[in-house]
Amino acid sequence: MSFQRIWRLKDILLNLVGIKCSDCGYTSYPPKAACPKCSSRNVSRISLGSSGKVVSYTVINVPIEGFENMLPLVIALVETDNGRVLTQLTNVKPEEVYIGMEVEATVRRSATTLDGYVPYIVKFKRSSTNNA
Amino acid sequence: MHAGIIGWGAYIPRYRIKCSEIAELWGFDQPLVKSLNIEEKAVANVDEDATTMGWYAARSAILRAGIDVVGELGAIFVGTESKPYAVKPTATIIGDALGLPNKKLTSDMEFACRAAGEGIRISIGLISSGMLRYSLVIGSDTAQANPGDVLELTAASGAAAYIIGPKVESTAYFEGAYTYTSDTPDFWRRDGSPYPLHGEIFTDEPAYFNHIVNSVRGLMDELGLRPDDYDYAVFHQPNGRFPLKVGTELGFTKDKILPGLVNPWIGNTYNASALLGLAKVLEEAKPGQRILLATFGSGAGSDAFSIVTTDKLLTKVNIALKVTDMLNSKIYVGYDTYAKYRKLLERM
Repeated sequence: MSFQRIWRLKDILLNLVGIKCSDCGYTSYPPKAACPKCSSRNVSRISLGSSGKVVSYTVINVPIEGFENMLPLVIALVETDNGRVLTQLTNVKPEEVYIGMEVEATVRRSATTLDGYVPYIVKFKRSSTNNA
Repeated sequence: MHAGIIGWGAYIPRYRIKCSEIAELWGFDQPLVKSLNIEEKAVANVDEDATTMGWYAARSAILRAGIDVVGELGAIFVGTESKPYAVKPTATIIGDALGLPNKKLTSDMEFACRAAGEGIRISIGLISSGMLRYSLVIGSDTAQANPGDVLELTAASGAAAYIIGPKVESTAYFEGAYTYTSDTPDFWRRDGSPYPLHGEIFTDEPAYFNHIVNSVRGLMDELGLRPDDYDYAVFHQPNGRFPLKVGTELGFTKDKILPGLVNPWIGNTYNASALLGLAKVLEEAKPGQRILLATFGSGAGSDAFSIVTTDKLLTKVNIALKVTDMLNSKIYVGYDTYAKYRKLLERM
């Protein structure tokens, strides 16, 4: 992804901005021009929030170029108060992840682009009041 | 001075490596490790850097200050010597990630380990003069060290952040500040060099001790205070030995220094070093107590601050993660994982 595109998606990547449909109430991330459920264009932008639970997850051991030093990648579907987000879990080993695990949003580096740009994105990590 | 600390935040990565393991790998004498008084050091994950750690600490500082301060934050200063970019500010990335206003002063500051201290001094001036209402100062570093250099035993990762604002709203206010600088070549990193060089024993008397002693004595002379007037003394912590030695030389008893000493369990977090010590002290201090804070940065300089806690302090402590929580929450890694996380190994 080019640094220009990453910059344009900054709100989505850093602040988890999605949409909520004013007609059917469905929330969607990333944001779209129309509701994916009822096709209504009567949607407004919302923040998905900063905490949630793991709904499902998978582990990637053979990544695309640039992600090699982050292996194994744990990719999870996380349900927050306002919707669902497909995200990377960090600070956790695959064997430690479980469905229902409480997680919280944090800002981390993603893979550096070919032109040397460092994207910062929201990832999720284990949630606790005494666990950095 | 009409400024004080409105909120503070800290970040210590979860991973730790035992300094004895580094020493064993490179063949250092174990007595050398013991003499540094550092048990282990904090290791940032592969996807962490000065930006991400600074963001976390700043978010906690805003939580403690109260989210209302965000709209009137007029400055963000990031003290770091491990910027992800040589040219491109860290402060703008953190500012946007926190949703701060675009109308603000925004700078990365560089003065080795004391850049964030200068950020606090500048913020005190801006706020006391009425030019700003609130300022965010962050000290954040993933300290670099050449593998096998004695510096590798101590160089660590961490961040601390402070919201500086009007004295009347503060949890702790500044009653004085004194900065002492000189051209002293004790430690440097040239442009393009991944690791710094240092002057071994030259970092000791002419640099660390000379500058801190002069800034602290200058501060106490100006305010008419003595070491007995302070409840806590927090110094920059390049290792676990120097803060105790300089504090004793200045006349502070050990029991006033130990509460703010975090280095033995996380290593030298450079710009976050003294500021994490202050954060820990704020978590256990009582209202009406006086704290001495002395930063140090190679090159060289030191800022000494005299800080008095207020009645608002106790209500703020449990709003965000505490330093003590993060000191206790840790996972040990070996040198191999440390080397991967800190990018000492490059894939071809």
